[in-house]
Amino acid sequence: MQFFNQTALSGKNNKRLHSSTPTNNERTAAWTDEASEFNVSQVKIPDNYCVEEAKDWVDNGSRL
Amino acid sequence: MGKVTMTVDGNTAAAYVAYAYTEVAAIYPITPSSPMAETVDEWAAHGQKNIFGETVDVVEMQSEAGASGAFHGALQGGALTTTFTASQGLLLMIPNMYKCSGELLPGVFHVSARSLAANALNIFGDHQDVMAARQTGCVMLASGSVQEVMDLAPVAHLAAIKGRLPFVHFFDGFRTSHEIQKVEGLEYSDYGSLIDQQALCAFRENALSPNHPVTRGTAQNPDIYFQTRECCNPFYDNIVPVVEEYLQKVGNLTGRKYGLFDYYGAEDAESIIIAIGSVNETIEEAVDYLNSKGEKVGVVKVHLYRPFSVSHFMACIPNTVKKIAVLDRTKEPGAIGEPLYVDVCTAFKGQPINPVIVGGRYGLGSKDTDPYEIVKVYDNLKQEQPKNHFTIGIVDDVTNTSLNQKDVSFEQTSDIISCKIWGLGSDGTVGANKQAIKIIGNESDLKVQAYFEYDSKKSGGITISHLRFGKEPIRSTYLVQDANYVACHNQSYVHNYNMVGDLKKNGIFVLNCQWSKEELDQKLPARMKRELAERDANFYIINAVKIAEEIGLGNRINMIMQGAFFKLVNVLPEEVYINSLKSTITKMYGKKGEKVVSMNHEAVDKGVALIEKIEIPKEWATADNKACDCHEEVVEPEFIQKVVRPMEHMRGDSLPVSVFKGREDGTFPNGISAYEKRGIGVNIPEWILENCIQCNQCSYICPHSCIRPFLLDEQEEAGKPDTFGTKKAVGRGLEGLQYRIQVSPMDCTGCGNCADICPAKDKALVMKKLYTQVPAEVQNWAYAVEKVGHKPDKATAHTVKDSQFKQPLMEFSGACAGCGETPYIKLVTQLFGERMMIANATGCSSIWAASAPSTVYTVNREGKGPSWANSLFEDNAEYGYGMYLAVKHMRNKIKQLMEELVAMNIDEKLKELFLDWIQYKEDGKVSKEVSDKVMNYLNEYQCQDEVTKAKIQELFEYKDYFVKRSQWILGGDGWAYDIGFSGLDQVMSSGEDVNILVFDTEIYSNTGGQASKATPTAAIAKFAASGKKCGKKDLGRMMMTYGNVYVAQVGIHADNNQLLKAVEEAESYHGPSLIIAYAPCISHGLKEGMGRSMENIKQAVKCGYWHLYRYNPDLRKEGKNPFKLDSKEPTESFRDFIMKQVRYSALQKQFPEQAEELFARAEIQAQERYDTYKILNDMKFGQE
Repeated sequence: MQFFNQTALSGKNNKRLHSSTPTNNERTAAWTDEASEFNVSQVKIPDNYCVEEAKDWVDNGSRL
Repeated sequence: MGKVTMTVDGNTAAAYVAYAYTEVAAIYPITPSSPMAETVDEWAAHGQKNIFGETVDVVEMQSEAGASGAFHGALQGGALTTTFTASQGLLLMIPNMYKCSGELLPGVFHVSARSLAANALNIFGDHQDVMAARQTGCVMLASGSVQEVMDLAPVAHLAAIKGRLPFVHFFDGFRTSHEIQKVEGLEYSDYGSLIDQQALCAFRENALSPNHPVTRGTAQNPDIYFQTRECCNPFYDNIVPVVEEYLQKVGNLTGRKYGLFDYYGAEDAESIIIAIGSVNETIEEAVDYLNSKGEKVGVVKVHLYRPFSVSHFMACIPNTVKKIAVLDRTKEPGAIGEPLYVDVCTAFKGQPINPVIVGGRYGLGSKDTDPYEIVKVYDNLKQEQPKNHFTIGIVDDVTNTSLNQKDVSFEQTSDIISCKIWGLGSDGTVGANKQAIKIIGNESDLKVQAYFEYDSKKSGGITISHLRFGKEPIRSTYLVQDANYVACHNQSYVHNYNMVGDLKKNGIFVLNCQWSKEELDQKLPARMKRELAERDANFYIINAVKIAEEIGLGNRINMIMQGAFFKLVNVLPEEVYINSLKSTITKMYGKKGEKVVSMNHEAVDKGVALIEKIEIPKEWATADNKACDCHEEVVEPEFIQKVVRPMEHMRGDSLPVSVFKGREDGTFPNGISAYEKRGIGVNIPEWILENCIQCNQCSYICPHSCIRPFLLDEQEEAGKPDTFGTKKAVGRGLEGLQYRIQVSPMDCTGCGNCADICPAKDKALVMKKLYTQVPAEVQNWAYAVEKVGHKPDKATAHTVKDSQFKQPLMEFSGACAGCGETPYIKLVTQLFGERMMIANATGCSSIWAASAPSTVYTVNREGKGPSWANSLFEDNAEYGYGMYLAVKHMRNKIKQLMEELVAMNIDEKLKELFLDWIQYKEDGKVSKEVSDKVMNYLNEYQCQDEVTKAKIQELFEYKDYFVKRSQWILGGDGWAYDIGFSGLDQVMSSGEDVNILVFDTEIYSNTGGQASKATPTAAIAKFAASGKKCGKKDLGRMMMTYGNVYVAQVGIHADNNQLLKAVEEAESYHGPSLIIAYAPCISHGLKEGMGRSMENIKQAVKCGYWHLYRYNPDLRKEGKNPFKLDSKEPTESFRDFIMKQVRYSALQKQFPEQAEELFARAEIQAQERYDTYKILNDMKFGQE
């Protein structure tokens, strides 16, 4: 009987390593809303309402 | 007096009843029970009155053990007291449950029954917790549906008072606690009318009081303890008729009758099932079906489980019964049978009928149990010798417990409409579906049901809404399978999830996508096209993302999809649902202004108008195109193939037990997260080579380890892809190398922090749409990790820049985009990962690290990396300390063996190596070098002497312990400041060489934002709904008082050098270390977005909200002040900082009269802390 299996995976032989097809894109998540952006970096700033929605999700929606 | 109809979940129903009868509630949050306490707290905050005309006093304690202590005390003080808990929390209450039952106190525990952590943690529903508490003497009353919760919860409270015994009222976690149904309750005046006033008076008079003092809780000896323990027997005999009495009285008011046990099915049944909880509703469906086919079956539903009244039980068993299956939703390894099975077998002893009784397990951890599984149970009973100790719902091909019935059939005969809607966490789908069910329930006489499935990825992650509605009562306590309506609100799901597989023939499938009609053929995977054709589906598309943008709603698609849902499901007339949706919108968004309201109204209209039907081409029936660009020919590691990929595709239910052979102890391999490549990010950073100053700060602060510097030698430079631009590496030791910053596009969450903090004069990182970066950067990442790799010999790791050339051994976690916790531990793994052991408290940091099948701690090229384990919540410091003790013991053994060998006749070189090892045993870096030398020498060493050989051989057995390990104990503030504080304190007092890292998010992030002792004054959190009144505990200063504990308070990006120094000093300090790291959280509601979470940390320090310091006891030995204040005098506005966060700004909106005073107090407290640190900093040491 094998008592343990301690082989870590190293990320090798990964069929998704070369994939460009998203499987769980967060386009519609509240925190990715793009109400405005910073000029140079183009980092997005969500609308205040979406900030509240994102907070509400982790506080009340996602029941982990 | 009268009935109150409401569309609520089980938790809310329990809270509604509990509130009526409660004066004091002592609680501690734990999933899935937390909403009960939160709801009660919210009502109390808004002044709702109980039946005594008072608001409930709710106190959040430091743990469930604390809550049950307060619960016990409040009862002894004469207050009607309630608590809400589940799972591990209930176990922590067990000692007090014995006390309360022993002292005949009428408290009520409402439990949303949940599984217990054994080989793994599971937050979902089963009966392991309540069954582990069944011997405590508490009365146990079970509800099997949301309506039963509403009807039986009052019985628990009323009977507790009259019968003088505590009650555990339990119902299935998630399946009942979170399932929404339209139910009826009573007015509070009705609840009040049922109280036995005499019994209540007696309870009050019996309370502890100096006016008539008594002594309780004496210590007793063998002479009387047994007798006094037996005194309580009459109360347990008496409670049975008391429960019956209240079932009758409540039933008279509600019109619904319950017994201690209820029978449903054929009057002349020959085969029956006996069960507790929500499965009974499903069993009723199966009973109806089988009896309609001419069979004779039935079910006994258990309500009063303890005391177990044999007479009442036998009275509801038809005397025609020949075979019985008992279903237990728990597991008791090593027992003859599970608890209910053993009780039933015992009950039948000496009875006139002697049926065959078998037992089985089902539904552990909310494993779904549908009518097909129940039909298998009845089918098993038809066998000559029915299988005993079976399981259903899984394939057990190891010990072969599963029932193997094939060809069982079941048909849903009612007209119930079922819907399954796939969404993304925080996209509004779940909230909208909750509204939809309420609208349908309120605007029609239809019965409704809503249940929601989630995965464990924080912020984002899949949601699946299971909705049902129909004329008949909905008893389907299982997930929707054969749906009339399936919708997918996220087009990226089409590749991974078999959504159409759940659709009925001719069902409706709706896809929110940005593809045109013409693009569908190319974009949809072949499997989906075939299934749509096979089912002759009514297929619709809508570009809700584009519509939302055009309306001005940003990316809020929920109301658009709601419009489409109501139009297609056609359960209400259009004008009714339009009006209801719009008035709901007005109510929900009214405070946000007229513009928001009208935009959402327009969203509904557009959702109705713009849904487009697609004619399914005939060719789709035989489609075979490959829409996904995975390399299917790659042979992945076995664990990935057999476990990870099926789970990723939500086919984990089909995995047989044998797949986990060799992993019975719960071990999972490291490094699984690298295989996911989910493509979460909408915008990801593009590196601008010519602007980059090679500071590596982007990599330093990245929460997900997906932007890294790579150094290329000549060969690697020659073989790189054309798109893999590099520049000459700058820095000592980097001569001759080329440099590149490489992003992993499919791992990046797109938070934007890297671009935001880039200090280059012209930004070297700019956020661009994901589709502009692929496939080139995907190939570049593959080249970087496969061909280039990390160059550890170039990474001296004493500067921020150099630390980033080391491979992060924590990557691609399930944490939120912009998470404040992850960058700290990522850095620690870069510095010490190859010799790290981690004990991790339950909380966000355990969930983002190891939600199966994903594991984020990985290995370097030598196969070394952090070992990681989670025990519980309260015991984490002790758990890590235990790991340290074990290693210390082994290494002392090595030292002993080496000393013995040194004294023997071995060669001088070997002696020298052993003495070196002993000398540098506690130095992490040097011990690695010396250990390598010792091992290399020993591997070649030849020895003739048998005794020496044997000792050397013994030494080899401990080789795994040669290198000094770096013991880390991680967790959030909920653990460190509250439930785990006593353990943390104990471990810090030990003087041993362990390192604690606290991710201080200033709330219980993982369980929904409850206040902790780290929550500052004025912050709004659960149980501090009107702003926290008391200040934040100064954990660091408390630990400094020991004098021999290294303490640091850090903030990444506020001072990267200080963080690096603190981590290195803490680890190298030969004693206990504590690092407290400020961690912004999505629950803070950063108005600048999570793309500025790192900047938020910097602002926190600049305005004096958070302070940076190090307390190094080693400096005392040098006669120096051990305390160094690293953060400067605040220069920015404290008020501006906090007002940029919803957790503070909401206080001004909701409680303006208190806000100003609390904000001012918070600022004063922060200033006082800083002033204290300045005093410590300025103290003189070692001067004559």
